[in-house]
Amino acid sequence: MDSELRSKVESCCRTAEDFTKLYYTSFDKRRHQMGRMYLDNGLLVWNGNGASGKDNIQKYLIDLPTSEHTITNLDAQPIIDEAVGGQLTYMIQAGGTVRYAEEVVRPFQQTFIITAQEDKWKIASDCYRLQDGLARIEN
Amino acid sequence: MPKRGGRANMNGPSGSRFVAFNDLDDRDDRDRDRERDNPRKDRNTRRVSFKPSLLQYSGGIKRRMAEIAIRSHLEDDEDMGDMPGTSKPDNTRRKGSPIPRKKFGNAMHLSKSPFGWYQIWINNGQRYAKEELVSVLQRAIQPEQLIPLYWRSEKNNVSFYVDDQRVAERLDGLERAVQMPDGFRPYLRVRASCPQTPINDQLKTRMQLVMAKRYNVQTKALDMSSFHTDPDFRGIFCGIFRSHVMSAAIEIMEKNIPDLVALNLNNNNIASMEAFKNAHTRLPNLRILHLADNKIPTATHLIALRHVPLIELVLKNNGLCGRYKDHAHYVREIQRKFPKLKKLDGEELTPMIQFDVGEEVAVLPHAKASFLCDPNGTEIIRQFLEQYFLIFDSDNRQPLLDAYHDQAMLSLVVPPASQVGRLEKYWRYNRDFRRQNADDNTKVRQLRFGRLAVVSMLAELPKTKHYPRSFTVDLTLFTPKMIVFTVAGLFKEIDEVTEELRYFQRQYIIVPAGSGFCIRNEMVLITVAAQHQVRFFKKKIETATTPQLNNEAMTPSSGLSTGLQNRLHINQPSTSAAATLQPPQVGIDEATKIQMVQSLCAQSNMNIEWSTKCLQETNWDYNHAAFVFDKLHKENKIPPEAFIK
Repeated sequence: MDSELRSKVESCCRTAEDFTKLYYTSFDKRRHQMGRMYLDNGLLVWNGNGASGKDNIQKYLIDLPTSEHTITNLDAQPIIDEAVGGQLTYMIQAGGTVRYAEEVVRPFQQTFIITAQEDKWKIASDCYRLQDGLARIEN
Repeated sequence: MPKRGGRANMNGPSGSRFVAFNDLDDRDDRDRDRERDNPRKDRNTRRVSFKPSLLQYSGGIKRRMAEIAIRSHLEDDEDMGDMPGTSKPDNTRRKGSPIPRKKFGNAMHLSKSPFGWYQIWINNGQRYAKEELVSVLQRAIQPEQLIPLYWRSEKNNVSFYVDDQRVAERLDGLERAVQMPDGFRPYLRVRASCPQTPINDQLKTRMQLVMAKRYNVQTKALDMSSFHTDPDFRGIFCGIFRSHVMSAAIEIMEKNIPDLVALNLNNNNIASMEAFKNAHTRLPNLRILHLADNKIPTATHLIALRHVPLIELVLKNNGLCGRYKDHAHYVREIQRKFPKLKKLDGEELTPMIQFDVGEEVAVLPHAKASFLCDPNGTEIIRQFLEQYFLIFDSDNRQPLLDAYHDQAMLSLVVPPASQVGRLEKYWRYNRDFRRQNADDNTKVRQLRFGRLAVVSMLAELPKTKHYPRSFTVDLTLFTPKMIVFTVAGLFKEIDEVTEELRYFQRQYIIVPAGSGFCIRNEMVLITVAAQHQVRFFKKKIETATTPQLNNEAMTPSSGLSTGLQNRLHINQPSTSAAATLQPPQVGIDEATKIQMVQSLCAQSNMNIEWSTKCLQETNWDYNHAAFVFDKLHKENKIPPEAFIK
């Protein structure tokens, strides 16, 4: 791995740390401000339910019960491909546990694609899964 | 003073004073009950015991002692332990009192069963055939009709139940009056008790019929008061005080009458409301609940109902009612638990003034198996996953080289050991940033870069078997230049000795390459399967993955494709497994093809037709074809005609 790539990886990791800190604090405490974290045509997929466009995402998030996330694992990679052009784009995978309203604590995983738009990071796609979400329904 | 007991004792026949021993048995029951409620406090209660040697002077005593011994032995094995209220009608007065409960001698009466069911024990009954015993007893209690239910034998004894009080009384009166053909007079013991009815389809069907009969469609009200006494339950004991019977009942309501508004459970000996957990989601319209004349001991037992927005509740004649200093206190406390309550025990309430925190509580939306931001991506992802996991689950992951971009990136994460235990086999690849001492160097080192590095790491991971039926697939970005999707599901980690169920989530970024696609970035998370997932797997997946019929066998990975079709909600059958992972090998001339067919024939022992088919379906990739053959052959999925030359 050359030094240029290495520094790209390092800055990607730092951004991922900062991003997740902000993201989950907002999710748990300032959900009404989350719309602006997404691209205008960003996409949220929450347990297989999609909401696209930052206004719809904002609304979808607000309608969820109150939450308390604890992040225990985090990973990130830079996307270096002509497909994204020169635009800085990272993929992030976070996971941990969450308690919704008064339900039990459950494991969840989430993957993001974030991209730099002018001088702001924006979420292009966000995919959230409660680990046992489907199993609970099909049981 | 023992008013009744004393006199009866004096006038009783010889030896009858020792009928008091019957009371010993009852004390046992009560001690057990109390021990259950109060495990520590009553352990030391001393039990009365008599030394048999002291009593031997009197005729018949020996016999009674033997009976007592047998009985207490049997009762140790008693399975009615969880029956509240079993044959203890005057419990409160009797607690701790030395006064014998039953009348002495022949004046002894069978206590009336609250459930209408009685158990009959016949000591040494086992030595006779059931028909013989029944016919002797039947003759003895003419004209009553004896219908013995739940016949059970244990060691030398038999027991059965009757659900008719008159029959029980007649049997109780027999004592030793019946004589078997061989002269033996069996000892009968009758007591109020109810059978443990297994919850099976028969019971559920019967319950459903009775519930349908008792349901009022106009008012959406279901009357389940004194449920077990319904004449349609003749011969079956359906006590909804048992949590799992109540659960079955709620299941029936949920399925058939989900818009139920009012439910009457009066007079059912209910002590626990556990079955009502999640009732607010299962019966979302339930507003009126009658629970009068039950045995709910404290208001905390109502916690299962806390999310049910009840407006009318009846609780009178339950243990909990007596736990408040006065009526107003009782009303206030219950109202606090159910703030929307307008009527308690038939009495109108002054509405409670509440804080305005908004109306309905937000609920979690239901999870769905897949989300596809563009339907055009469906087929690409299906084929991709099909091929990817077919190779990944095989003995050789080398062919995955073709699936990755020259400069592909891959990283793997497992959650911390404190959360899921140390997932040993993945630990050395773990790139988790939240790990202790995860510095920039680790983060760089643990990121595999270039397809050789990627595939060699994948090759080192434990053998796996993935279950597409458990997959969730979310396609989040679909452009001509780049596709992003996340797939998650269950797989088994297989090594020589063990098989562990695991959960994975993988996010892929794939880009076009040649006429197919290759992986640019991939992130893998591996963790343990959650409790619900294990249950779901055992119930729905393990049983469903039976070997496939041979007809489909030559479509590689037919198991995978049906699973994925379900997940992705597409119905058309797989056309051919065209190589999406790699550009088709253009320019293979016929001569080479024939060579390939010949080699495959030699290697696999299949005939030319099937070897050709196999190569066509793998797009003339010889190694892949050989690999697909190996895999299917091992699974016995190749029909015999393929080997006929």
